[in-house]
Amino acid sequence: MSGCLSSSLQFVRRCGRKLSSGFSLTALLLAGVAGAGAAHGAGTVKVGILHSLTGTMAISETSLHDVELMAIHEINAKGGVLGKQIDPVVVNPASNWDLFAQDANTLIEKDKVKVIFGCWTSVSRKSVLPVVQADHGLLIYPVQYEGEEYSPNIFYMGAVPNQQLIPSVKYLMSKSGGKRKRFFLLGSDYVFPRTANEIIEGYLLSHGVPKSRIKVMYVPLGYTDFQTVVSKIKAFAQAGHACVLSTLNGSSNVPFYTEFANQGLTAESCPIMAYSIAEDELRSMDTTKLVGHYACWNYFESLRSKSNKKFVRDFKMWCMSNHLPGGMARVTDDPIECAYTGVYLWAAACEKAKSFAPMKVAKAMIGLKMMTPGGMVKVAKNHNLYKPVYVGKILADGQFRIVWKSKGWVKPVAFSPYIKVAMKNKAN
Amino acid sequence: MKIASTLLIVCVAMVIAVLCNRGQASAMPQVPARVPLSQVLTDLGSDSDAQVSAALRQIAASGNYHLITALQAYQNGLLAMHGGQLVMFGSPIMDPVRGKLYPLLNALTNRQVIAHGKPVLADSIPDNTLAVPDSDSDQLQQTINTLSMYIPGQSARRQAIVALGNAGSPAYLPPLQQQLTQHHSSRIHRLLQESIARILLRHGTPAQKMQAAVLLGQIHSTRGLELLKRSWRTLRNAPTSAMARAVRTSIDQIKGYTKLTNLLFDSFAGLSLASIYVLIALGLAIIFGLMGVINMAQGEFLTLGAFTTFAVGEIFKTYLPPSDYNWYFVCAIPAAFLVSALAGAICEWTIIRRLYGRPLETLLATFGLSLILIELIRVVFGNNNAMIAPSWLSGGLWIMPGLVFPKNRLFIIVFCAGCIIAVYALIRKTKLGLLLRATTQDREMAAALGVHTRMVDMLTFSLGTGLAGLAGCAVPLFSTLDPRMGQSYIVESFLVVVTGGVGNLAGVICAGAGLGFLEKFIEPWVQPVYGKVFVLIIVIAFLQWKPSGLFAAKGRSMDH
Repeated sequence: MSGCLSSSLQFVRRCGRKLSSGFSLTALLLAGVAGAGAAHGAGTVKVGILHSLTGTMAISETSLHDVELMAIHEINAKGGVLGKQIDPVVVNPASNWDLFAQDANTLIEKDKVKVIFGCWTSVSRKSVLPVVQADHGLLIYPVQYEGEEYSPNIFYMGAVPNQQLIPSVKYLMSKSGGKRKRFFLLGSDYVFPRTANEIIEGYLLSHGVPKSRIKVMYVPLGYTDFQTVVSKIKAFAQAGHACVLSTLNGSSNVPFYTEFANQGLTAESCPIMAYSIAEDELRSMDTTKLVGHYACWNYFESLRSKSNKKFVRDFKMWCMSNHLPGGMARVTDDPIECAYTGVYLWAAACEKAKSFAPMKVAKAMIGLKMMTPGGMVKVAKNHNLYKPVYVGKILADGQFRIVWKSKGWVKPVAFSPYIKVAMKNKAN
Repeated sequence: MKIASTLLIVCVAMVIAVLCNRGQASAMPQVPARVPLSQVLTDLGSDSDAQVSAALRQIAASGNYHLITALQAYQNGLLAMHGGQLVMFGSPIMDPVRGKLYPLLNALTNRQVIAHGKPVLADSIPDNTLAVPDSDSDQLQQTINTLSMYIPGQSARRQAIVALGNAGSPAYLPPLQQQLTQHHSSRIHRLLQESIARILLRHGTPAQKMQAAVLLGQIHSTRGLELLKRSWRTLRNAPTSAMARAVRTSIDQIKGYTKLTNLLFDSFAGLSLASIYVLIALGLAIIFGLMGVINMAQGEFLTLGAFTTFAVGEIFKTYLPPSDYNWYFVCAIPAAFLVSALAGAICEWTIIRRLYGRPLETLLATFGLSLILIELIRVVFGNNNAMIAPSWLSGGLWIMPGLVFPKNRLFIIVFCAGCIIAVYALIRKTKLGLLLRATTQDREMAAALGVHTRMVDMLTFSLGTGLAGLAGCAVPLFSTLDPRMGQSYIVESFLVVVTGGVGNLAGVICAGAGLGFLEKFIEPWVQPVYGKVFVLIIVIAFLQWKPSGLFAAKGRSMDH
């Protein structure tokens, strides 16, 4: 009964969401036709789009779905890949990790997609991993993550710890970052913050920061009452040269920054470096309270390159002309740029391999170089990307001013050596 | 006290000596006359790092706080040379045709640059703005800090004084000590003393160090605690020396004081969390407690109130001058109540009324209703919205050194008290309250006496949802505004109502207060993740002991 109820509700939610975007509606219909057993269209190649369009993660993942469809549309307009038009099959796993695995399975086995663009949370990726490995599929994962993983069937477009966490900490310890000496590591209680904080702690310890100047704290997912946490940060910051490294996720961020400002802490006295806040998230926050705090990513909308200006304009136009919520007010950010890059990299790899066979494409991916809106990238042997790193400071209009950038590429190290340092320290 | 005054005299003497040497005795020393300030500022554009550094030194010595805007623009990469003069890019304005435009401001006067009778506007910030040389970034920050001490505004001045103390360089002693002779606001005076003492404890002569240590203890300087601890570690070998004893006493004094402020803050945090719990549970106490309806959509009525508040804010922003924006919140309170109450009445009339006495079906139906409402709000408002709190509810109220009560939390405490009084008055003193109590206590008898019980049910239900709407008005002040926000409060609301004893408003207030204080007094000792676990364990244990909650229930739910 409840299963029936929830699935029919899901159908209603699916349609409700779909109606808001004409393009995805056609995509859904196409998916429906394909699901009914229609033959593969001549001259098209099927790809899967696996992002939550409803539920908790919809707030972040919808934008990735939008930009991936835009990239596919662009490639198709230029003649497709290997002379074939790309045909996206959109599914909605509705923020449910089990559904991610199920949907990935259906996409590969039933819809015969050649590649899946999808997932956001690490738990969803980990539930898709065994599926793509067993079915010899290919997953292009677009978000920054904690590393500590390798799969021959997954390519990771986002940053690994040494492309986001370590440079940002280095920046804060540098002269221009204010020579921070005391580090408050605050995170939501799940896999990414736990691993990220291990790595940061290991890095700090091995760079001469004493244990007494590092404090680690976790709050439950969805936690909103930050009074005690902020008063602890305040006490910690009293001695000066302190900073907060925040891996807080989702809805905890607004109450945290509000409480932070209201208890009298400022970005000058104790800046917050956030790893989960980008331009898209800033749209739901009162940015006047965030001015001067930091974020570290491999892409910012405010990058001044020509290719980025075009990308930003195209995305806004795409959202407007397809009547997506937000329209011209939509922004681009790191995961959106990674999702966009992912589609292009896959297309380039197919051209290089002269085939759509996932394993041949995977082989062709290695070593591919490409100019992206965020700068030049190259696919490394460990399936991550060589990419530049930027530190941005939040401005009142919800954009970032880039205050630091890496000299060229930063090599991706998926398995961080600093985890061992932190572990060893705990054992002692 | 005696030592403090001695220190003061020493400081004053030193200041006088410094001032005599420099020959500058005014409160706001002027730029040395031989170099015009505009020339100094233009030097910031120089390629030579040394020249930039010298320019910064001169600006710091000028004490001209009007230059801070230009320096901050310099720091933020917004300063540039434009037609031979130094300009900065102001905050962008929206042009309907050209999009975002940045007005050019004269760096020296902060006035708009005018050309051909029109203000000059730039389409974007160019790449060739002046970059701060890496070797000068510290000095630039120090210059800004030093100048900030001269700003007439209190808060900026306080921050600047603390920042100088944090930097800890003896170079800051002269300006700080000079300020000490100027100001008499006790808060600023204390901060000046603190920053001077923190610098002297590091760099002073042994006698100065001693005095600084004693002073830090006397003014309960939490900022100095770390420094004192560090000097205690170096003195541990000679624990009986006068210096060691002074340091030890100061550490104890500060720790004692911190305990007091912590206790006060935890009590405040507990009270404010308790108010939030009571506020969100109040509506449910009426709907679930008095009427016996398990309303899973209660959280969504809260969301509805929150988005009404947001919508009122947007209307104010669009149709009224910005000066009136601060008052949108006052209008939003009745609006949120009315919208949620109306939505509640409609739901009662269409759905709930048909399911009285069938709790399982009610639960399922209201669960479905909650999903419909969430997605409906998502469709109408979209996912990412920011509610900007009025300025009178932002920031904090300074109570004593080391203790600040955020204004939004104070407001919620008052708001909650107001709601409790209003609900009590309504139930105890009005005709509607009488009918409500009569209907919930004995429906048949009330009906026999001519009460239109169906109408009373509808009004009661809409009162309950209206109260959720009121809570929704307050929640975004400290939390997020998103379509799913109601979901995170539904569990807490039921927890409070069940712990308090179903059907009893006093029970709800006591349970809400109890849970709030419990959580905030456990949290300082354990990680927040475990804090919640402990609270839930205690609640489970309590319900094992008293299954009907704090207060025995009197209501329709118990009649059956």
